[in-house]
Amino acid sequence: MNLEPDISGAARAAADHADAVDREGRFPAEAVAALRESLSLGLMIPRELGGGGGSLADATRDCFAIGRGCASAGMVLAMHHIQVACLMAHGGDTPWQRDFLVRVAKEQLLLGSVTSEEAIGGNIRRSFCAPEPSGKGRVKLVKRATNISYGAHADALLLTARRDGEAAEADQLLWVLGPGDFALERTGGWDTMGMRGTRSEAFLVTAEARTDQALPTGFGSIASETMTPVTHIVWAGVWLGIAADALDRTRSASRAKARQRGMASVATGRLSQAAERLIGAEAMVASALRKYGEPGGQASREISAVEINALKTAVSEATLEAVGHCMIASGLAGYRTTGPASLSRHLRDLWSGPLMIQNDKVREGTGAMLVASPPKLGVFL
Amino acid sequence: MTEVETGIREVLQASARLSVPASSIGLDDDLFDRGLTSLSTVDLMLSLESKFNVEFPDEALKRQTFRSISSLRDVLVQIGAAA
Repeated sequence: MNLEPDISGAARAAADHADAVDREGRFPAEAVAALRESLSLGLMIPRELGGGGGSLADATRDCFAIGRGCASAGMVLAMHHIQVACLMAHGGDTPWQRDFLVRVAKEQLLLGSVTSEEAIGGNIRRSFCAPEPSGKGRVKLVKRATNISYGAHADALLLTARRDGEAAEADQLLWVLGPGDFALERTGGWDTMGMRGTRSEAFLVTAEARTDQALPTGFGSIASETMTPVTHIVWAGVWLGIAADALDRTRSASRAKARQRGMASVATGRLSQAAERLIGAEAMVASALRKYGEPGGQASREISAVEINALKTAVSEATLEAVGHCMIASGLAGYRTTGPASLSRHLRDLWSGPLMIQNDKVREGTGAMLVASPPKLGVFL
Repeated sequence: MTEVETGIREVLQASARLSVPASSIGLDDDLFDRGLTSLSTVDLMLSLESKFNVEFPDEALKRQTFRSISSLRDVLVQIGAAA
């Protein structure tokens, strides 16, 4: 019997409301409600804790399926899964953390991330915010976040802060803030070209938590072993979903054209180039999943950062290029902002890929690492 | 012979670039052994869609569908081609 959540209803809800989400720049509430309904938010949580017991590959497939209908909804699901992965891999034996995972599965809590902060320059490995003891084993946290995706809709938050007021900016812990532990005051909006439904607004976060609500592992290892690799894998799933829908639309329009005016009227070379990009990108995701294994597993601590970075930069650009080829193949029908062949959303949404964590910055890191260590080539497995 | 089968033979003759006349092909003969290629399958699909005013769903776009006149007939009837 297949006990894993069935994503198809949520995928339909995502697709049905994608245009409205984009046009109105609103949270994809229908898709997220359907994800809750199908218990998809607990997909990766082990069965014994009440979750679906799914793998990271299952989560990536879900992100693809939802992203194919609505990029913003796919990205919301991806970011949620990233937080779950961090909790699973680094929560340790802390009872509070274990109970919290049970709650996420049972109550289908949507988890958001607060790694951004004013005056730290977009580097998630630095924090200014630090906990202040407020007595009885509790602390107070105040953080000026520049972006909290779906902050206004998240049930719980994972927030980075310095270990304490004396700690260096890079000496961080990840705090888990459950429902009722935090308050948000909106300090900035979100009116972007694409990914308009993620509502990644600026907020002043004020929170109070028990000291055991911080994950026991330092954030440095959480970031390198779990948050970064899982992020790049599930994001790649979303981007591929967006581009797959663009290719579907272009294929469908090309077929109608071929029926009327013959194959010579179809830009076959462009379709082919779009598919090449996507087949290559899919192979990179599959390879990364195989080498990474599961969050918290042995392999997850050993996968090469070069490979994970390359996945991010290559897939974000390959999917964008693929939609570019689709656009040329579609002509005016693709260029329109509406209609069944429109690629407007796809192109605008995918432009977030190279920007969310700048590819140029990522490549600086990759290049520096390459000087010291080569990628593993010639194995073909 | 049903009208769908007759229509399939007409389309095969006109656009599938087979190595033998369509009229000589048996209902269950393998079309790929009679000269159908992956590429000419596309022309065959487009011509059948035009002739019968239907669209093959993605899940029907596999080699098995195009293997014989009978397999094409079954799929075409299933997706609403008039018999």
